[in-house]
Amino acid sequence: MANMTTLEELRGKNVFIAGSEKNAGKTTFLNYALHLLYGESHGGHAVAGIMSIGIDGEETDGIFGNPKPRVTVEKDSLFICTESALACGSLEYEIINVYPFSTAIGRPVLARALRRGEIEISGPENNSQLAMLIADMRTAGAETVFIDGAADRLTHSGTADQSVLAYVARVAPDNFSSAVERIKIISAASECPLYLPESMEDDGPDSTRIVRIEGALTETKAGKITAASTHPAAAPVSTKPVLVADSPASVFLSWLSWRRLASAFSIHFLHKNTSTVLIINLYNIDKADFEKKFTSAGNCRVLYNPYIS
Amino acid sequence: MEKARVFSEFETFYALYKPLTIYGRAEKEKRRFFTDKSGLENELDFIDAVKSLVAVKAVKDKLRHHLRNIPLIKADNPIESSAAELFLVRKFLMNVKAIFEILPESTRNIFGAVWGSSALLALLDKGGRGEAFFIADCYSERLADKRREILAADIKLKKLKEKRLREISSRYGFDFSDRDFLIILDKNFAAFGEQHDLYAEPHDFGRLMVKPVYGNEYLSLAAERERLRAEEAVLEKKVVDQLIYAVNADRENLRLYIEAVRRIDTAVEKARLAIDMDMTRPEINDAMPEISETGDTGCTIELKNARFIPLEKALQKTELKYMPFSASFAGRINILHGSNMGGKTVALKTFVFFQLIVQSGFYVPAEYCRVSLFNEICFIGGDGAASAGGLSSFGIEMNDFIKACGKLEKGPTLFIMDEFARTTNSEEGTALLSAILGWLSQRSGAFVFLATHLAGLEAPENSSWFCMKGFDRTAFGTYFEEHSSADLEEKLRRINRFMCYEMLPVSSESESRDAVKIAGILGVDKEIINHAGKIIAARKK
Repeated sequence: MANMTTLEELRGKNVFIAGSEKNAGKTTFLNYALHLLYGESHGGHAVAGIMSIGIDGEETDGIFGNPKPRVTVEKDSLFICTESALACGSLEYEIINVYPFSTAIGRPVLARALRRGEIEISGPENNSQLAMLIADMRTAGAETVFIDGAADRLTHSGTADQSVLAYVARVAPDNFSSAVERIKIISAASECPLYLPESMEDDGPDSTRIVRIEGALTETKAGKITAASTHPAAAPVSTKPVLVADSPASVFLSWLSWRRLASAFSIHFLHKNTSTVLIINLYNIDKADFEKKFTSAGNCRVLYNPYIS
Repeated sequence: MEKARVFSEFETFYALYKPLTIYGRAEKEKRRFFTDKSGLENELDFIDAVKSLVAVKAVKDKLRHHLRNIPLIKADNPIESSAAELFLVRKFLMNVKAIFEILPESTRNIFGAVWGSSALLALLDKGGRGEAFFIADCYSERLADKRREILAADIKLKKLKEKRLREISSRYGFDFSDRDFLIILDKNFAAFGEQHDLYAEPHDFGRLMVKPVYGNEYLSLAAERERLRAEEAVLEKKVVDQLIYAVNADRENLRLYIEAVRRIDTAVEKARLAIDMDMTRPEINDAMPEISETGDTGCTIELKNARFIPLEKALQKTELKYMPFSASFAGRINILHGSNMGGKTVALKTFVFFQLIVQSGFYVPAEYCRVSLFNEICFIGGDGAASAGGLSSFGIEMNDFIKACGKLEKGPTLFIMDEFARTTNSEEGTALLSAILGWLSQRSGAFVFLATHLAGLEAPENSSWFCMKGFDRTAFGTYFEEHSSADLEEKLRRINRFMCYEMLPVSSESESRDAVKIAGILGVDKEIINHAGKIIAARKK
């Protein structure tokens, strides 16, 4: 029931599903959420909109090892796919829009399922296209829009939209430490504020104390700016210089480096989701052991092993 | 031409021109420059044809809605066979038809908007629901039959699945109604012994991933369903091929609609700008002005209360009021003389701006505008930088001039010269400019508009001299006598209020000298001003 309560909170929002790694189980979670929220016995008259971001090269489903994950789409649901995928899907459809831009795998099509079936979904390649597709899905009646993201290309929504990051993590003995560190950073980053230049001018530090990091926030970049910082780590947050990074997903640091950086700077993000749900799939790891390492989820909701009965 | 566009800040205006269709936007990017009168009049006629319609908000909104909804189709080659293309063609036709219906017959004729695709649209409408398109059962009885078989299979599969899940639930207590698989403890699964209706595989240590086994009947039916779907796909493809065949048979009409839409879209947008910016239709001369001595040839270039949009927009953001510009040119060699701050450069910019706006096929932001058409507009002047690409400002000017002279062979050329040779010494600059003006006056294809403050120009006899009406000096002086504490910034800010951007014809250069007066008004010591006046008077003697 706790799972259902958490999933219900996704309703009406733009849900960005990202994974800790390839085969983390993003599409499995998408199908799970779709089934529970919009399945035949749960959906009522509301419909979901479904798309995928990027091509991450996955050829098999991490849970079942099935060929290329496909999404089961209920009747009346909206989805984005390519023209060629339409012909290969098992559903009947009506086309609502065909977009004038082309992605690496073809021209995106917005369609509605006239019969339940499976389809290979796809989507936009950049944020302006993403905004257009989401808006069109909403206009066409989508209550919740699910965006199945690629592992290393987490995409964000605009600040105006209510958006949720659903971060799917596979935690196993072979990646225990690194997965926990990544989850801790996602959790800590979700607490960092959105960068709003106008509020900085009014209350915050002057522009000379704002450090802008474009692209990935890597160990090398973090090392350079931390070394250059003369700010005492124990100083109050309000007096710290501001570090502006792209988004929580652009952070590729160890937990230690993140903490050093967070001590020296008040970290802000240009883009971030309004809330975060962590979907933790534990393999051969006890929840208690995991929680010894991951002690605080902050504002994040956590779903442990949602598929376990 | 590019330098003239930059100099006149033409892009500030062009950016406001936003056609709504992909065809209109492509037309915009072509940056057509009309050099023939009939072509330009034709373009202006298009604007005339829709201007009264666009003036009615409800009609304008409808037109813009349908234009915005027109998708890109490519009718130059046969359209590819796909459901997506059918969607696009239908959406295209629906909106084209709606646009044509909004236009009166006489307007449709002007744009070549002749509707002839009712049969095709009716055929595609069978698969239409609003703007959406689907491959409807009504296109093929066999397709409809196949879909009925699939539906029956789906219902049967669902029943078999539900029956099996109920059995599993009652036998083992496992609820698969919400998911395709469960992760359960080994020991819980082992407690049931051998099972034939569950499939299990290791998930991790101590847990199994368990899926229901639906049985042979279910699997056979699922395979049958897959076969039916494959047959359905073949039938759908046949329908799509047939519909695309009908579309391609009507391709010539589609091509004509694209042309009409392009014309309508650009005309509607130009009409919108004309209304929003209070623009009027320009009048076009048959030829260039002659040398002024020949009298009124009917080819005068004239601007009355012309608004230089970039400056007007810039001033809107301040408290300063924009003063429109008026001028009239009866001859080919026109020299605007006067001191700095008189508005000479703005006058030149306004002139070029209007020439570009007219020859780009727009209405103009003026009470009255009459222009001649040029093959080329050449701006000759430095860019303010000390050097560019190794050339000094002087070098750039000479290079521009040589290039512009080359254009003369191809047809009427407009020479725009702003403070030509300003970076060299005044003696040589004056001599060079005098010689250039003499040379150009003998080339019938050259129209020159020059702004300069160089004194002692020996211009051709048939040159026309102008000065900017400039300040209302009396009112300006009175104002600042009463506000003597105003600082320079305030004075400069207020200057515009007392500026009249009107070009006045004068008989010679000397009438336009006012730099010393302006310096005095701006607050330079009276002793200096008086001394300067005496020096000028002595030189005249």
